[in-house]
Amino acid sequence: MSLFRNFATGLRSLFRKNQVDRELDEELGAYLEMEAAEKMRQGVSRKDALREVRLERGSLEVTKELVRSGGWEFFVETCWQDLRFGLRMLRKNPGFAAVAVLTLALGIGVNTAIFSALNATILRPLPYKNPEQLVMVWGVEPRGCCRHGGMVFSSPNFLDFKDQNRVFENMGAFDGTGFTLTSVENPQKIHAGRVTTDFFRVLGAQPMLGRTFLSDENQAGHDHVVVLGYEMWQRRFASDSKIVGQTIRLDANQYEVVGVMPHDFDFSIPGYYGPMDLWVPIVLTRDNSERRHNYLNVIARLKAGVTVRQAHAETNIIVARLIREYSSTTEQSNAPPTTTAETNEHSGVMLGTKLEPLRDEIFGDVRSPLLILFGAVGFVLLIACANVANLQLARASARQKEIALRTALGASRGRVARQLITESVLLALVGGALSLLLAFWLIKLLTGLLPAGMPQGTSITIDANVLLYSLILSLATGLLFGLAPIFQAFSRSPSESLKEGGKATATGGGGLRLRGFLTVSEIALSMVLLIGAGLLTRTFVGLLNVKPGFETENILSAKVTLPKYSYADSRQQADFYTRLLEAIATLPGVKAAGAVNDLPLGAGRDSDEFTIKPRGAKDVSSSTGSCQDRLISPDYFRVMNIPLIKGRTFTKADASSAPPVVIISQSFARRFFPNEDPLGRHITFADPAAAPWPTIVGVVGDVRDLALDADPDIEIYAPYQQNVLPYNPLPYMSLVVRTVGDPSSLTSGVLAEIHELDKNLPLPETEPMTAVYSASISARRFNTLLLSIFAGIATILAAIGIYGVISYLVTRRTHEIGVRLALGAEARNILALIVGRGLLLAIFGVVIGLAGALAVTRVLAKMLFGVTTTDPTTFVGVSALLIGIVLVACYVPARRAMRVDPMIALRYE
Amino acid sequence: MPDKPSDLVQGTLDMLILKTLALEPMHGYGISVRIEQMSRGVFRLNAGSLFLAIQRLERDGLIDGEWKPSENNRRARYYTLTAKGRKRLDSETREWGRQVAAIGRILEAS
Repeated sequence: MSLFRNFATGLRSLFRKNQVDRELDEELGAYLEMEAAEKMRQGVSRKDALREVRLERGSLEVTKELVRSGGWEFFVETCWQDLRFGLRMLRKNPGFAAVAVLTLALGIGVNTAIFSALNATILRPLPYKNPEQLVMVWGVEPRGCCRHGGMVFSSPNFLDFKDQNRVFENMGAFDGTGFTLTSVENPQKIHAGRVTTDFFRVLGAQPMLGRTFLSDENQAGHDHVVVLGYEMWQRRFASDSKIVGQTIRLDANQYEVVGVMPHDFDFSIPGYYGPMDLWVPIVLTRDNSERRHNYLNVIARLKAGVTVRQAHAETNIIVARLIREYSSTTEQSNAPPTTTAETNEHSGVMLGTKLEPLRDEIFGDVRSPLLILFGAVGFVLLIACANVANLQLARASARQKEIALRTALGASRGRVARQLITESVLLALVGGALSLLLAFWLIKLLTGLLPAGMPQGTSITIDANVLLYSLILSLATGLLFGLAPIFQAFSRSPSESLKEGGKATATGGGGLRLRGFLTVSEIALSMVLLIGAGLLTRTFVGLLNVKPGFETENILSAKVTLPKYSYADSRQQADFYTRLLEAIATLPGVKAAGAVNDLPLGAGRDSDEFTIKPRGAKDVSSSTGSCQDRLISPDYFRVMNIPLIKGRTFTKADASSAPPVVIISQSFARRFFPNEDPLGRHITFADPAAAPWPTIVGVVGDVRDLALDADPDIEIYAPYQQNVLPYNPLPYMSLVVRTVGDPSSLTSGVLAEIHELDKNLPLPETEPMTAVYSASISARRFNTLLLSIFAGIATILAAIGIYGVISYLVTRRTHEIGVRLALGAEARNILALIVGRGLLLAIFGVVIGLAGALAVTRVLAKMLFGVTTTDPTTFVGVSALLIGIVLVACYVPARRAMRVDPMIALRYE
Repeated sequence: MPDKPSDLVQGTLDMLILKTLALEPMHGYGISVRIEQMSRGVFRLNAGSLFLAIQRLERDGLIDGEWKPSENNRRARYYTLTAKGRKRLDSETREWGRQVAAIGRILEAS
């Protein structure tokens, strides 16, 4: 009640100030009159009585001021006064205001932009129930390989895990496939997630319409049901609310729509699992012959209270059990197992497991780069702060007299500090508001540059969180750089300042020391950023110089997908590709045409287990492993310019009826056939008991197939006409077409040939091989570019900062320089004097920056390739660059100093 | 001449004003005269501290102010004790009594 009353009265004095003032006047007037009347009754004259009252009771004006300042509204009012005064000051110094506001807008803007990227990714809660319980389960494989996180599961392995574990509440498995939606006018290629019936329950995701899968829908015959994604439902089915129960045709098969997922359900994992249009149940089998066919990604929900570590211990026990149980069943030769590792390789099961929280799986790739960029923009903001503080210090010396006067008139230090802080915060808020424009533009730029590794469906926007962050950051910034002028204002006594008549002259060393400190910090911070940017740039340039092992210029790629309903078996598929390649090869401007299932450096990859046949009955060296396998057309090596090292390449004669053949990569040959000739040896992906074993007929050069910065994986090539893999890999192939000129110019020709062969085929996406290549390094390009931009901004700000300090120094010492010149100093002595000062600051800054960089660049270690975190070239080069920039920044004011006319300078006082 | 007026014990001014108003509604000058009389000239109030205290008490809802014509036909602001103010006065008086007695006992111990 009284709080409300206090508030209401306060508001009244704020908004009806005049009336409240009049009332106070009247009340105090009455008081004065009554007391005076009392005194007059005792015979004192009215004039004396009034004087006496004032003496005894205090001045009425002071009383009024005291009463007024008693309420909370007084604080608000003085803030408002300070604010208006601050605005007036800014309007009187438009140059200062503009530079300060722009600097702050730049500093806050880059922070807001990077924060909004954080906000859209690693700070965003995953849209699942208790997402912290979700983990991805991977297998560990003896020779580090395979997909994104490790080795995937086969159907029997997954089912064994699901049955035997006691740590997971539930487990789900998923993979992706392509369908052609045929119940609509233009057949359309769509991405479908194949998931276990439990998948949605594991995630705790509820459908928006209908239901998810029932547990018996993983049985063949019951599995023709589909759950639609929101976007698919909206785009292809016009948000039909009665869609549940209707049938759609996928690859010419009927599927019943049982549910639609809500808008925010977007299960995708960057790198290997893109967003899906719809989901169908996957049919699992316990058939032991499938134990080697690993294709399932596994997600699990931990039981409440179970830690990742406990779960990991349990999954490792299960692996050990599976190894014991199955290593002998797939082991065909009677050679005694020599080591455990070797035994395990024979098992077709993984060696161990790896659990990765889903959050890390999704955001792991972007977390550390984003945090590093966040740190970098923090540095930029600190430098901006230091610059504005410097500007304010220069201005504060001019305002020394004003502040001294205020203090002399009775303003307390706190009151003066409050006024100065209000002005700083005002600057920061104006800068912050302007920064939103910059952030908006930067976010647009960021979105355009987003690397492929960015989680799908990420949209970076300025939302309430970002606005709040920006506001708080602005306030904090204002408080931070607002400290400098306060520090300066109180460093001298008011009487001193008043005596000087407001001219900041040779004294006031405290301010200069502070400015020197700020400048050194700026240089040190820019130094750290520049070194970081330098290391990333050297990495990037190094990557561009890595030879991928194939040529990227003048190659057009096109990923063709053949729908299962019209190309049922691999022979039909191979036929189509053969005819298509022949047709394309005859196009004008085409030198050669080939095909491969997974492009090197592309997103898709497959690895399978192989067994090498011992040379004879006595040979016990038989070994197995897993490697990348690529199905190619005979001309593939010629198109990609991959050199043949030994043996022969494939020809048309290696048809499906011919004896199966394979070609291995050089590192494969080196690892498995050291000191012997691999040609003529046999190797298989299938069950070793089955005949025939494909023969090695050639060795080709290594290709950086996974990434430019990863060593080439061992690799086996097989002709696509011969199906040597345990499953049908041919529903899609990437055409590679070597062209005479610009590859894009052949796009329409290639598409026309595809249409010519099959009008109903969904048209493939085409892109030049150079685009595939540059997409593979897009994340690095993104990080390098951004860090370089931020380091550039930081350096420019630091240069402006040092320029300001040296200019100030020259202005302040004009008189002294005049005297020196008059006494016979030469211009170059003056130059040395001024530049020497700048150089001193620069060297301090560079040394501190070097130490800082040595401590900090470790965080970049994972992002570097080919350079160490303490790369001497970068450290030396950046130091020299920064000192050079500082010298240029000093030279301009130093020249002014050299041209000082002694006569004018001496009269200047 | 009485002794020089003393300063009030910290925090007692509010209690004295409430006590004064418990007798009858009064304006600012009346309050200061009454306190001076009752203390036989020991306490003389400064206008600043008086009106600051009045403002505080009014905002806390312990007293109510109202404009009324004064004896010399001007308008003056008269203050009345509210129910809440009376309660506060009672509790503060009791507390004061306790403290004075305690201090007295300490000072008288020999």
